[in-house]
This record gives sequence, structure tokens and C-alpha cells, in this order.
Amino acid sequence: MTQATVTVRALDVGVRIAVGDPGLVPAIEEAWHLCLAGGQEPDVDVVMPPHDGTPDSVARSLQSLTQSVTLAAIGARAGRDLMFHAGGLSHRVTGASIAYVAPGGTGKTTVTTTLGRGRGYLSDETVAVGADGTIVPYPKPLSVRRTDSGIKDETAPGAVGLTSSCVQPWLAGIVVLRRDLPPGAPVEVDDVPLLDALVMVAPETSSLARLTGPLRRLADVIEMGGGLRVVHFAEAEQLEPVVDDVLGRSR
Amino acid sequence: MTEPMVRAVAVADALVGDGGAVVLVESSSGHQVVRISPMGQAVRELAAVGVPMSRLTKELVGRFGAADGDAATAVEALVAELVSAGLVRVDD
Repeated sequence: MTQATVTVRALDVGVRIAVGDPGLVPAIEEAWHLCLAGGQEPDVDVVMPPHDGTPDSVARSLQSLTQSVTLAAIGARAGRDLMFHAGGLSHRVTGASIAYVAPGGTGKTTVTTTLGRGRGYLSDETVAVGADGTIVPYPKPLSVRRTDSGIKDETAPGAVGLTSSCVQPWLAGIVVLRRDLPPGAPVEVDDVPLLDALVMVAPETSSLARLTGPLRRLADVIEMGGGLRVVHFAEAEQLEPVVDDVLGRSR
Repeated sequence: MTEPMVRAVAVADALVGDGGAVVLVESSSGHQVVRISPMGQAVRELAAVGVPMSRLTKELVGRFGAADGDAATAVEALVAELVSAGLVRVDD
């Protein structure tokens, strides 16, 4: 019997997913609709974890699958791109893009869903920046954490009104997100000196040491984005002016 | 009695800038980027091929001026910090 598979492009890496339960293929194709790469030769293979048929188990399996695809893609691009644990949005005409760096569970997906409509969706998890400042889009399913458990629902970007970038995205600005203000407090933006910025951002990168001259490369990317800023906020909507400012920049 | 020698430990990468340097060091938990002060960076430069503690102290006083209190004690404390960060070692 032929194994059911779905092939996606993640960070421009062809990832073939072996799906043990063929009944989940439509759900996978829906969640990954902006990354589908049917007919293309895969670069790497991953296997979807099994589930016991209950809705929570299926959701966990889809969540693990997303993590597996992301890790496989990051592994394949290690040593080529600087990869941040970041969400990203771009201007749909100019390609000017913002990368918002934050550890897992601190608001990247919320910011993406709140501010992404009308902009190019790049990722809610990993932003890969090439040496020339161009960004490799990774419009993966949004990993939306449930309020009552640690489970994340893998949600089709299109279901919340997000679409891919139409033009080649390039890094216009990079910020670190800190959702640490009380409700109603105004946004605070702090500039971070370069050396401190390197220390702050390095833990939020993948495979940094695999790059040639990794610290210089990281410094170059931060400088391409006009320097690092830390943005303290309470609600995602407050970040609209920050995103507008960066996406309004020209090369 | 032989004087302790301070030697810089090789790191994966380093970037020197205004106000010191950052270095990429390998640790048991992977790679870590560490910020070091201008004086810490000077220690690493002076200790590139090994330097006796007394000469290191003299060089640092020459570059940065005398510390409040005992300079030798201050330099030993700085070196101890750099040792714990995996950036230099002290050979007795």
C-alpha cells in the first residue's frame, strides 16, 4: 500500500511528510495551504507522529508535525541563513519587512494574527535572513495556543485572513518583543547598543555557530534593520505604529 | 615559586566594538554569546599567548589607571570572572 504524503516548502526546503492516517491529509493540506509544494522533489522527509483518534491527540500530532517540519527546514538551511525565533510581516508592494523576535509563548502568533491582514505573512515562528538582507518566507500554519491547555491548534493562515508576500521580502527592521506592560500602558521603545543587541538576540537564533563569522553576520543583519529596538507593550494592537514605521521604509 | 600564567581560551568567534566585545563560546549546553567589558577584552588580548598575573596587573593599571584599593586583588577578581565564563584559564 502506498504511504500517504504531503510535500511542503518550508524556508525554501522541500519537506515530504509521511502521513500515517490518510484521513488527516485534507487537514494538513488546509493548514499548510501557503506552503504546499505538490510535485516537487523533497529535500528531507519527516514522519507525522501517531494519534489515538481523540481531537486533542490529533491536535498534538499536528502541532508536533509543525515542529518537525520547522526543525527539518532549519537543519537544512543551517550555515546559510541567519534564522531568528521571530514572526515576520512585510509590505505587500515594497517587500519591506519587520522581524519581531521573541521566545516561544510570548506573543509572536498573536501579533501576527492581529496585525497581519493586508500585509504579507512571512512566519509566526522563524524568520530566515540571507547575507543580502532578503528574507525566505515561511508562511506556516499559525500555532494558536489554547487558553485552557498547552495545546496549540495549527490554523490555516487564510482562515484568519493572512496571505503570502507578493514580492521578495527584505529586512527593514528588527525588534524584540516584551509583553510586560499592564493594560492601558503606552508602548515603550528602547534602542539597544550593538554589542548588547548581539547578546540579547543570539539566544533567539538557530544554528548561529554554523555560519561563517557568525557575530559579524548577526551584527550586519541588526545594522541592516537600523539597529535593534526592544518594544514593551501590553496588547498586540499597540504595535501597529511600530509595524507601520518599519514597513514604510525604503531600501 | 612560579607565578600563575593567564592564558586566553580559544573561542568560536569574537567581535570587538565600542565598549568592549562579545564572544561566542562553546559550553556544555551549546553556544553562548557573552559580553565582556573593555578591561576584560584587554585581559584576553594581553593573555593571547599567556601573561604572568603580575605583568597583567601592571599592563591594566597602565591602560585603565589604578583601581580603588588593591589593583592585584581587583585583577584577580576580573580574571576569576573570565575563567568562570570560559574565556581565560590560569595555569599555576
